[in-house]
Order: sequence, then C-alpha cells, then structure tokens
Amino acid sequence: MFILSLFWIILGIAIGALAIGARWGLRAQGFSSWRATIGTLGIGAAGALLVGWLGVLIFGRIFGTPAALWGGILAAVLVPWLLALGRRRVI
Amino acid sequence: MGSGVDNETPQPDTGQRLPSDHAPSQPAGLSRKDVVADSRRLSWGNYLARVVLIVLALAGLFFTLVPWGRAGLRTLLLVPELVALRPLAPIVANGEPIRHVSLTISSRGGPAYLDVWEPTASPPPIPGARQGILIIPGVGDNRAVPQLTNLNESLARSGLVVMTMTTHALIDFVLSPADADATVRAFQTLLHWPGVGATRAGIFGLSAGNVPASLAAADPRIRHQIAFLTFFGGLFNARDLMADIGRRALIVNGKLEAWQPNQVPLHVLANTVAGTLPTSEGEEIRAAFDTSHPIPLTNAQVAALSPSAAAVYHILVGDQRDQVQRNLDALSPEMQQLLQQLSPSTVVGQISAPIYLLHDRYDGHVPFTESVNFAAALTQLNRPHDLVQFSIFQHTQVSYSLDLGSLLRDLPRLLGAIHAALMHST
Repeated sequence: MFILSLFWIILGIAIGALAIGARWGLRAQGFSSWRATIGTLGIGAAGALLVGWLGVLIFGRIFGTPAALWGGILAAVLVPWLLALGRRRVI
Repeated sequence: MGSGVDNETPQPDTGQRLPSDHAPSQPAGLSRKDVVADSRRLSWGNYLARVVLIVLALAGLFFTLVPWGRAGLRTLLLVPELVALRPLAPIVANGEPIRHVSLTISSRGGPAYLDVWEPTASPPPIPGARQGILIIPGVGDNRAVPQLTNLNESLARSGLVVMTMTTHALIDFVLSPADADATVRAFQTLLHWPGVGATRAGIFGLSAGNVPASLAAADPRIRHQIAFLTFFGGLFNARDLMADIGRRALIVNGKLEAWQPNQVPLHVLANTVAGTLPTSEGEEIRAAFDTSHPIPLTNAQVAALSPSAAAVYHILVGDQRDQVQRNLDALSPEMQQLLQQLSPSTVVGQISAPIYLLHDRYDGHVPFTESVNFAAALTQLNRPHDLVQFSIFQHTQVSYSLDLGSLLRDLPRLLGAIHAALMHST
C-alpha cells in the first residue's frame, strides 16, 4: 500500500497542476503567489490520498486508483473555491 | 497564452477588484478595466485542462461508484494479463494480495481436488461479499498449467474467490457422469467459503469441463443457486461430436465444412467409451488413440473387434466418413446411454442460470458448432444466454501467433464476455 499511496500522491500533484492550468486552483481564486501554487498541488495530493484510501476501504483495493483520481480532482477544484467563498464571507 | 495573459495571473471573482499587490502590470494604452477583462479570458489551454479534468473525474466516478463500471474496471485489468499470459506489475500493484489453498473433498465418484485462490483481506463493505467462480479446466491435469494459474491469480487479485476442481477421471482424460456430483459438492464448498456471496457464485467450464458443469447446473441441490455459467470450447451433444469426428467435417448452415480433429478429443472419447467394452477390446481402443504412444490396430485386429468396438474405432480413426450414421447406430446401448448422459443437451431444459458460450471459431478439439447448437437450444427454450466466437484462441488458450487484426476484432467480444460474467461481482 506504500507504493500505491505514493502513486496517488504523485497523481494528486499532477491533478493539482492540471487544476492550475485550468484556472481552477487557489491563485485563480485570488490567493497570492507561490504558496497558492504549492497549496493547489498539496490539496490535489491530499484529496487523492484520502479518497484513494477510502476507495480501498469501501470498494476494495483495485478501486483505490480511480477513487484517488476523482477525489484529487474534486479536492483541487472545490477546496480553492470553498476557501475563496469563506474568505469573501469573512471580509 | 492565447490571450496574452499569464496563466498564473490571479483571477478575482466577478465584480471584485484584483488584490492590489498581485494586479497585472497595465500595458500602455489599455485601461485597468480592459486588463481585468483580458485576464479573465480563458485560453484554449485552460479549456483543454478543464475538459481533461472533467473527463478524468467522470471516469473515476464511473469506475468506482457505478456497478457496471466496477465490473468494467475488473475486466480492463484482467484482459491485459490474459493476453500477455503473465502477471503485469502495475496491475499486480493495484490488485488485492492473494493466497492459494489446496484441499480434497469426497464425492460419489471419488475424491475431488480443489485449489482456491482468494484475496487475503475480508470483503469490502460494498458490495459486502465476493464473487465466487468454480473453474473446471477440462480433461488432463491442468493444475500447474501457467495460463490457468495466471487466470486464477488475476481473478483473485481483482477481488474474486476462484476455485478449480478436478477428479481422477478428468486427470485420466475420461468423461464420467459421476463427476457431476464432485462438481455439485465443489460448488457447495465454494458457496460456504468465507466471504463468498450466496447469489454471486458461478461455474466456468473450460473445454469438456462444461460436461460436469452442465450436469451439476441441472442438479436440484444447486440449480437455483448458480448465478451464471460460462462455457468456453465446450460440447453440447456427445453423439453429434462423434459424428463430426467420424466424417471429419462440420455441418455449418446446412453445408459440409472440412474439419480435422486434434488427437486429444479422440483420446478422451476412446478412454470414455472403452469403459463400456470388454476389458481387452477397451485396452485396444485406448491404446489406438493414446496421445503419446498410439498403437494403431491392424486390419486383422479391427476385423476381430465386436461390432460396437469396430464402429467406435472407425468413427474415431475417420476411415469410414460416409458411413458415420451407420457406425453411430452400431454403438452398444451402454455406449449410446453413456453418450446421452454426458451430453449437456440432455439436461439443458433443467438449467436455470444464464449461460455465456464462448468458442474458438477454428477449434480443433471441440467444433464451434457445438456451442452454436447449444445457443440454438437455449433460444428455443427462451433461456438467457449469449454466444461469442473468437479467432484469437486455440481451443481455450490464447494463440501464440496473434495478429493485430484478429486481436482488434476479438478484443471487444472478449471484454464483453468477461464483463458479463464479472457483473455478478458488483
């Protein structure tokens, strides 16, 4: 599972990079500088890892990678949007 | 990019001002309003990234949350290993860790040897139980055949419990009606195996393995508990098979098509019917069709055979191709009864499980017309079934001389056939 987890983290980082390219990342939501870029990659990786593990626990090991795929994408797209929404409400 | 604005430019929400410390520099001649509008514009690269993300997310959701998709993922992971004839590292890494257990159970015909491959983990909460498959790998001792081991391990890695069964008769290249009881008992063992769902177990009969599988599927003890039957290269009517062998031709759409049988079916039929003959004649018939050291009978020996033994000999050796019907009629009542008992056609009306029939179009062991006839009978009985013909297999093994055209033509059919059987796993 260690190798698989590592693979999901790399997959999540790639998804985060795609989210930045799609202007769905933190920077596109008005967050600043390199921290937003790293943050988007990290959110993708964390989402992929978390949902990958959930996929394994709920559906079985072979479903971990497709779960990590959609989990990483949802996290990389929705979390920045939710953070921006929360920040606007606070302001 | 296309818009001339850097992808990494911060994007404010509609109506919001750009944070002053990250505002893009304002080119000469453009107002600040123009710059903000320009920075919101998406390039084709942005759109492409969005499309890729949406497609990947939908694919991930489909293969995880939709039962049809979960069976599809299992199929997609299984087929490359079957075609490659070996485990593939990325698929092994994504699959379940597995273990192998061997056990022996007793049946009316003698001991039955079971080998079980199963995931080491308990079944996941969804669907809550594993699919079980009882594989009867035909005649001969196939337990150490690499292709079969690869199939068993691949299925187990994708989350299924796989049990193979063989008996002394099958190992000795003999078909026996008694093996139906061994199959019933093996299936009952599979049904009670930890983690296997009561409505998720089926039987996969390879080659003549479909004979005990069909007989067991008609047995009242398990006939309503079998979720599916998959027969690959199996027979339907033993007398018809003898007729095809005798005339060295098949009847396809009412026309004769030349067909040369492999030595193995001759060996199996000789061994099987030899049991109904007097010992000395039985031995002569067995020896004449032995696969490793055949001892053909002389004209004098053939002339000395009983009418029944002579008829069998002429059918199997194929030297009276225009007298096949007469030779079939000359078989002893015991032989006729045995052939009937070994024919799935005898019990097809009592089988209630859906049947998936797969056959190599150029099969030299069991002609593909057997599956065509099986499908026709099932259609007449209005029973759920499917028939798929391939050309990428040699009998039941993946051909070693695969050409791309055949592979591309047959791969969707193979995927469809495996998917149908694996739907019971979701």
